Amino acid sequence: MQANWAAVVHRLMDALPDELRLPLAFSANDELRSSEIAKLLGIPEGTVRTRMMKARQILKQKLSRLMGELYAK
Amino acid sequence: MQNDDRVLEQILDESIASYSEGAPLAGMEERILARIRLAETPSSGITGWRVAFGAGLAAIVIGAFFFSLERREEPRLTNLAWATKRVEAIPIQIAVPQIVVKARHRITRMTALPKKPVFPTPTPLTAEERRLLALIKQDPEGTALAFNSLRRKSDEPIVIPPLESDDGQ
Repeated sequence: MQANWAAVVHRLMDALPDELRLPLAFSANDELRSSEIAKLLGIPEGTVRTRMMKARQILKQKLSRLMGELYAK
Repeated sequence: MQNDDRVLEQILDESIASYSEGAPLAGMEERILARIRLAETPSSGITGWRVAFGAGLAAIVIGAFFFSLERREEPRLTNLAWATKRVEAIPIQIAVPQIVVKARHRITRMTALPKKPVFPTPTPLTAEERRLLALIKQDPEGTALAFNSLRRKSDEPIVIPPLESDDGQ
């Protein structure tokens, strides 16, 4: 079940725009700090944090809706 | 509700952590390489400014050089001579009204007018004079008497009779 949801989340992450996807992927996968991601992407550190939060919110919202629809049936 | 939220967060964390495991992120390599290249090369903005500043400075130096060359070609003159030369160089086009001075006609003749032997110049006889002349030639004595009587009459004083009005004054 967890593996299935992971695949769903990965599909949702693929659908995100790069500006939101990359900070999240860097932080999770490569365990980079916000300052390092900011240097890599050439954007301010605050922007990196904001984009990561926004990406997480979108993923959470979509995942919640999908779960709701699935369990409602 | 809180339980659901926690489950969601857990699923998200695990899913995100396992995202692109073993495979590089799409576009990640390009971005990292681009950033590295950008960090290695000097800032293009600063370089651009430097190039622009250098080009401007070079243009000013070249301009000043040619200007000084042009000035050197001019012979050194005193202030007055220089000013005079500059004034001469300027083409002056002033419409000057043409003043026509009429010369006085002085009566000066180099040669005298030809003098005629008889003065006044004899004019041809009129028709009346010719008839009188013919009369004299035809009857000189009668003509002389007639002239004498006329002369006498002309010598007598002219008597003018007083004017008479209707009132008797």
